Amino acid sequence: MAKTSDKKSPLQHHFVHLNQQYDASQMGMWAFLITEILFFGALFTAYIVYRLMYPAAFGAASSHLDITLGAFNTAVLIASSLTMALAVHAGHTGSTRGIIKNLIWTIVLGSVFLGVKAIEYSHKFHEHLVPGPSFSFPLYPGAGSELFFSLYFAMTGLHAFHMVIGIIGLFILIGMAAKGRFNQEYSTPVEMMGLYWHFVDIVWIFLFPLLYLVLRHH
Amino acid sequence: MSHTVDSLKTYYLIFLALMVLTAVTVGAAFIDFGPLNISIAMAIAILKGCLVLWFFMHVRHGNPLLKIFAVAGFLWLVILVAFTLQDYVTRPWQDFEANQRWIKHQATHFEARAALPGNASHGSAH
Repeated sequence: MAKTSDKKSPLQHHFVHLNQQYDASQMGMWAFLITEILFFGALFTAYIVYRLMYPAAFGAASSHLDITLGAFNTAVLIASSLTMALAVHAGHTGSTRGIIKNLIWTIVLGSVFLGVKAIEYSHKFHEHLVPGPSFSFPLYPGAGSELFFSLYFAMTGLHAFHMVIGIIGLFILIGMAAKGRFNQEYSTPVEMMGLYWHFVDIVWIFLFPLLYLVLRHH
Repeated sequence: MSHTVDSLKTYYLIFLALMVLTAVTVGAAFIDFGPLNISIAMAIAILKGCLVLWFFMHVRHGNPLLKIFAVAGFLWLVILVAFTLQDYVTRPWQDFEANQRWIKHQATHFEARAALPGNASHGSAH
């Protein structure tokens, strides 16, 4: 960090002032998030196409997912977004203690989400719902249900991978906060991590109805 | 540098709204609205996504360039989906599942015939 200039300043030498550096960070993060939208977007597009092709199979396969665990996880993730927003808020008010406390809560809630996901995955493995040679879905045999579970694992898997990366990032932020890197003038890394975490939350907000709520009224 | 600092109350209210909308979307899924079920689910998801973008991700405090960035990402997603669907939706996919079952039936029928004694050495893989 900025060893060329004042050791205590977070301003890197290629920026004129902190506001310029902040704007650049923000734009860079959003440019990254746009690529993420399209990254997940390809899977969502595949989902839409196959759901149009196999509406009944998608309905039957979706109703087999555990709606209680899915809804619980949605609530957990929204709560983690709240604690992330509170961490960013603590950064803006210059409370290092507030940053660390809320980031720990975010990690805890993110881990609960991943734990529930692991339970769901292990159920799917035991029920032979993992696409491949041993796949079997007697309720609605055929390619459609296998495609649904392929997309289920691809989409929730990619999402869970993003959560793991996010949790690693949160640990790094806690380390930075503990070293006293953040103050009222500068907490940009916390804020950028917040953008990423909220984005991952938005992905789940769409995954939940598309995967768990296809045909529940039958 | 200065940030627009929101009151904590804003965050708690948005959190509450997101929780209520989650409950509403689960409840609505159990009621038969016919083809409207998916529209309701997506409308609620879009509303929730916008709340997160606008308040949690601070797009509302962003400069005009940031707002263009935020809109552009989703605009490109709409292009991706719309241009893909203009192909798929204009094909007779309505019968796709039925066709698949018919093809499978024919294949089974063919395999059964091939397996009959005196009926050739090729064909029956299983």
